[in-house]
Amino acid sequence: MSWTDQELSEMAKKAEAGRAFTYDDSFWGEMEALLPAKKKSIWPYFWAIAVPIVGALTLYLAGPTKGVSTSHVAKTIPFEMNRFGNTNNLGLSLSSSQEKKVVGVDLDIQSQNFSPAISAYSAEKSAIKNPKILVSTETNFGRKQKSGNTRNLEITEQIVPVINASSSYKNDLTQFNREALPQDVNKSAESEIVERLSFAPLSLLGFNPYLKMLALPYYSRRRYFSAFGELGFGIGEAYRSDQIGHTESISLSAGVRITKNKLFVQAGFGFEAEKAGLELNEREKIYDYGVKTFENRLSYKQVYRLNMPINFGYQIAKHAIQIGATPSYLLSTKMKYAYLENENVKRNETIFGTKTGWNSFGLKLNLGYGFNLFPSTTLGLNIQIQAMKQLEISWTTSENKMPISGQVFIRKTLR
Amino acid sequence: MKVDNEIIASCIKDDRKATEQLYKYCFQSLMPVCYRYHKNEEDARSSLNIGFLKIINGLKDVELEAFNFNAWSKRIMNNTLIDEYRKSKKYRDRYSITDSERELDYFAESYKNEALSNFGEEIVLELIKELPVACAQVFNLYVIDGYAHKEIAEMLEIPEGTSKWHLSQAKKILREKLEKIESQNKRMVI
Repeated sequence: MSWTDQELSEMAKKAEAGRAFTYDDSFWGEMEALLPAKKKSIWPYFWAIAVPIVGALTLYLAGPTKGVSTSHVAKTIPFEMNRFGNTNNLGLSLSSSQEKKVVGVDLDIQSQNFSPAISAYSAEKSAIKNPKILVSTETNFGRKQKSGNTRNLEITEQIVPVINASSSYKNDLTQFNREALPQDVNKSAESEIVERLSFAPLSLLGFNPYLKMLALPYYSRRRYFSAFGELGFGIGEAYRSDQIGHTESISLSAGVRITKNKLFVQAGFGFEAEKAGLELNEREKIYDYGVKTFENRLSYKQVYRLNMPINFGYQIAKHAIQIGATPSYLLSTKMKYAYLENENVKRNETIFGTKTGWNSFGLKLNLGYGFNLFPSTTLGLNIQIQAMKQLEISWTTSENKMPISGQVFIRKTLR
Repeated sequence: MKVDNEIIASCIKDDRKATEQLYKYCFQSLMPVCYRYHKNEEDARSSLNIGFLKIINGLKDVELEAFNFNAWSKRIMNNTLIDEYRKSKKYRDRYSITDSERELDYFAESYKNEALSNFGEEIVLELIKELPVACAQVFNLYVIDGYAHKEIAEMLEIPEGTSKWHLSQAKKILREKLEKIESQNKRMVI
């Protein structure tokens, strides 16, 4: 009998289909031993350490304050209003309706009987909470203010224009700052302050100067929250030690800041685009029927990350130092990909989104300095060090273990 | 059992339960492929494990949309087996040349008492194993796995014409062997 090609093929296929192998559970044990050990994530450890620290600091900063200074600034308001309203020696003239407005927002001055002024510093904590003053539409200063404009006296930066307004007044304020106020203010001390304020050249101070001055940060021990936006420009070491060059980045983030006394904690969320300049090559050489080479060239141009910076800091006048960490997640990349066979390019294209060779998560530790250029604008510098490997081990042995980068940032504090 | 994208996604995340499930699946689908290249199950399983390791490592680079796991894994397994063969090429060549004639006689003897109705598939599979390695590879890839000569030529890094020649050689040898066995059986019956 002669076997046709078709008969041979069918016979082979049929036999192959009918073949079965018995699986034993022990096979998996052997296979599992060959698999690479499961990566131990450092994140549980990181969070286990970070969460209690952040929690404790947040509780400390956001928790109730002690002592008589809880509403220190706030309590001065009726006192000042009362004084200026009665004496009129600062040139502020409020009509009766305007006065009512002022009074009506926060408290009833009459009923509280704020004369003498020192009552504001008394231990009556419940007297005024969250003082806000509605400014009248027109005053003797001749400046117009929008009706219903609300000023929160707890905003510390408001003092700066006052300080800049007059050198003599600045001196007064400096002196004023040096004197201990919060805890042991007595009647005579306060009277003295009021006297000094009374002589301030108000024409140079702008609208409602006394209110601004009362918002001096140094007198307040209250915590406060603020939001901020931050723009940063960075430059850093290359990811691979055998590649010349550096990385450049631009980042935009927003966050919140809690301040208490001179300590602050801030957390944010932002986007970062980095010019990576990283090349990863994979080459295979086969010695069979002549030498053949196959090569994948991955040239990363840009990487895009989500950053979640957390910083703790200490503010001394206009200067601040901060330390913190910035966990990041790799969102996407832009890459030039080339595939070569025997040095001949077979494929060459730009690809978005590939993460080959990268670890998704990263962590930078940073030490920073900030300087308050303006009341709500800070210019600063961060020195950052990469604490988690950014490249997969399988791709390169010449990874810069902990590349250092520097970042200049400008932060705008929002209300 | 079916391999869906969910299992594959879990394997990418290094979920060991999902990886075990995938291994079980691959054992059934790929073990026959491995067995074609080996004399016993132990060696076949060793190759399967090496291939499975490559499959797991390669999963993270695949696009899950429109992903055919069966075809992809079979291709990886075949490449693994071909690589293994290359590493031990000289040994295999000697082995084939030395034993091919003797094996032919062995099969002729072994099955001479079998009934004609049983003659066929099992013998074919064993005979394929006794083909010269290159011929067996091409025959398996073309006939059983369904690759085209062009693909086989790429995988084995040989010219397409050579692949065709190996296939025709394989069929010719198989045909000769089967006819020889058949004639032996006929003699026994008579």
